[in-house]
Amino acid sequence: MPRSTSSRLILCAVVSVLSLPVPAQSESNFRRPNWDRVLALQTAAMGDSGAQRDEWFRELREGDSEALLQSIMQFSAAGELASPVREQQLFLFTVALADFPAEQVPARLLEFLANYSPQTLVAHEESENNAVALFNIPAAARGVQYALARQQGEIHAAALLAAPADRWIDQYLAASPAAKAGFLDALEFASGAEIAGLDRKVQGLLSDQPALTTVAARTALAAVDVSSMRHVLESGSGPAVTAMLRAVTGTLATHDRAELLLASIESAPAQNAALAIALLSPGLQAVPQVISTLFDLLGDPELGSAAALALMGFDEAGIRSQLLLLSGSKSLAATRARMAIQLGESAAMQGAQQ
Amino acid sequence: MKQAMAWLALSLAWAGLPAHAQEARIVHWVETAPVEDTNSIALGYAVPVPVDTPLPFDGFRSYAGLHARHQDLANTTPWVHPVSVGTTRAGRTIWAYRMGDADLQTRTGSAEQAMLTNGGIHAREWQTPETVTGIMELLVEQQNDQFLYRYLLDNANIILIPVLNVDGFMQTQR
Repeated sequence: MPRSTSSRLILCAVVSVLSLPVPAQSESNFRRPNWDRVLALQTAAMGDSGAQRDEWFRELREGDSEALLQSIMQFSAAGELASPVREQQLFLFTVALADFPAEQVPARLLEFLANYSPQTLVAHEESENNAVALFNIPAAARGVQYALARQQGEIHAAALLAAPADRWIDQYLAASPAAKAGFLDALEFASGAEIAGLDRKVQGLLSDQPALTTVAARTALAAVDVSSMRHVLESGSGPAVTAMLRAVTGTLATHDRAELLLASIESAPAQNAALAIALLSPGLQAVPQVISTLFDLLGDPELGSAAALALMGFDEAGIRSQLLLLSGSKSLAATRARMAIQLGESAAMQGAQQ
Repeated sequence: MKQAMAWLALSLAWAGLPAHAQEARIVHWVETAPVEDTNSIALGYAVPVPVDTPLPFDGFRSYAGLHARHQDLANTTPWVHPVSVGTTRAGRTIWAYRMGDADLQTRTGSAEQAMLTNGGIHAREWQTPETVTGIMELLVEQQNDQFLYRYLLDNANIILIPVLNVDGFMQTQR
């Protein structure tokens, strides 16, 4: 067969396959509400004695995981009970698992609950044709899995605090997101010496390991160490930087806050310096060095708009007249001064209208 | 007497409201909450709080921060042209930014095509104003790439409305 003919046949076959009607899969996957919300809740309340859950809790405490799993599997398939009755029991039991020690909750049980398909479907509060599970057992089970992993991470990290800081850091970096959160929880219980040791080590590693920003920010805050906070601003990245700056507002004295702000303007990357300007400068209008630095910054290509926004936020007559004085020329600083005045005027006008 | 009549009218109006309107309640976003707490929505992560900063970061900028960024790029580059396209119910200006060179012609002399991208229609969806602002920042940053971005700046009108629903956006950022 000539090559061109076979190519045409292949093309023809492909086109024929593509033009076949697609089975209406979406219809079978789309689930409609099958219970009225109020009726389902009433049904669930009437059928709930709590005795079944007490029995499961007893089996859980006794460590009889196989019997417990079998009992729950049978109960979840018990056709003689209305689905809201069954699912409320399962849901309340699942949620309560988060309060048990992690080693007492069988992983297979949580896996079963996480893969359970809810049967009581009610209309979404804002869209009546869309079904939502009244008792979202899989979501609750995933939440419990997270909470227990976090709990285990916290216990492990608390024990590691006595070990060399390197080990704590290595294991933090290797941990799952849930366990990482547990590691951070453990810092609440660390002694001053343990925090100081960890802070020294983590600050030393931060430039090469930005993933340590959250730990570095937490230890800097716990140690109330301005030089460590400065280092986080210089080398850290991510949401932990913002969280640290917010927390600083309540913990540092005015002169320390001013020092941190001026240091970050001098040496932090623009993004972090702009955050520091936004979050540390409010309340520092009485520190002359801060005000003069912000005015000097107006001509800075990267940080000028952040400085303009901060100066506008002070809402002080002296600062406004200084901006007005500066705004007459054609420099970049003057452009920013005009912008600060305009933003301030439009904010004041909107405030008056409301 | 007048006061009593007013109270009566209010009570009747309240009684006549549909059940779902009477049940409307304020719920708060929190990081974690007990399951029985029906007045909170537990997100499972720290509740985002907008920051008054003009530069992008790992979080959400406030309206003031975003607006300062747009105006600053308009003031300091030749590519961003601000236009007021309306006023909100609360009297706030709705800003559009035309991205491109000063003329409305392509390099070959024909009329430039236009494309519109807007964000911030749904008040609670804070990512779209960031995305539209990100497009603006990208076009300015890449102005000298001598390739796609510069071609677009020279030959197209890219209209960006970073926040269409300014009132709603600011309401949710309080």
